[in-house]
Amino acid sequence: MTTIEHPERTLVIERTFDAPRSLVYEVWTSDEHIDKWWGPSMMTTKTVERNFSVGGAWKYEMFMPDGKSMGKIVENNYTEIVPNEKIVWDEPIAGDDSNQVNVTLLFEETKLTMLILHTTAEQKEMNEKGGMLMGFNMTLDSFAEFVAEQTS
Amino acid sequence: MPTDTLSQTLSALADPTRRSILARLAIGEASVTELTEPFDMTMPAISKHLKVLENAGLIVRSKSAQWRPRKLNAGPMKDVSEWLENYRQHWEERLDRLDAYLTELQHHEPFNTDPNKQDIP
Repeated sequence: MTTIEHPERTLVIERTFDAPRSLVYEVWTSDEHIDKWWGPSMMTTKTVERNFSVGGAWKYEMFMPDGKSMGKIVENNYTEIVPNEKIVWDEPIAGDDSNQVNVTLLFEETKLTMLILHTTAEQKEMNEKGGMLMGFNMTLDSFAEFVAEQTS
Repeated sequence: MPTDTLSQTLSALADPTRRSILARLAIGEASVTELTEPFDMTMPAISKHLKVLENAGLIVRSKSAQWRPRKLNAGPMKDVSEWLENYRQHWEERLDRLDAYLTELQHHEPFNTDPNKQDIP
């Protein structure tokens, strides 16, 4: 059972995989694997630098479907690692440094639980209402939001 | 090459010149000449960008005048913002890709790293 300490500011996502736990853990932890699946669909990720240890960081660049860079290096910082059980890190949502979350991954035999802890309940609500756009606006030059306003 | 609509829209939006063109068209329709003016580019170069935007369905040619001004078609942009706005989806997609990757990995395993041990009848 997973106890959620701050339900009002946590987004919980669970998934069952048809793969052994050791392999599920490995694809999150080895440099060889993570670039091959990380990121929203159709985008690609390239590791710039990675230090998988508590206090270490993973720096990566993301690319649009046509290969153009999102234009910045995203940095995730590892805060807790328990081999085959748990990985915790801080991550800026959509590369937006002002919109940080603390992500906890819990590995069970076939189940993976991802807890996305926000700084405040307001931050969670803002993201759910579309504040995530802010991060992408660095690339889309506010245009997406602008047109969304025009058409809504 | 992107095949689905969303990929095509994102790909069209990935270029700063094309985004500027769209920003200009958000104010109102404009001719190719008017769209070329703010840029240090030739008309054929701008036309190429317009073609990409047109193929992505982001702009259409107005039928109202002889000079066929371009105007904005915001439909695909709405799909992009809906995609961006779905916060849970943002995280779910990561696990979707992980799931697909795990399946792919297990299909190819076990990896045979020793070439001498390959294909022994």
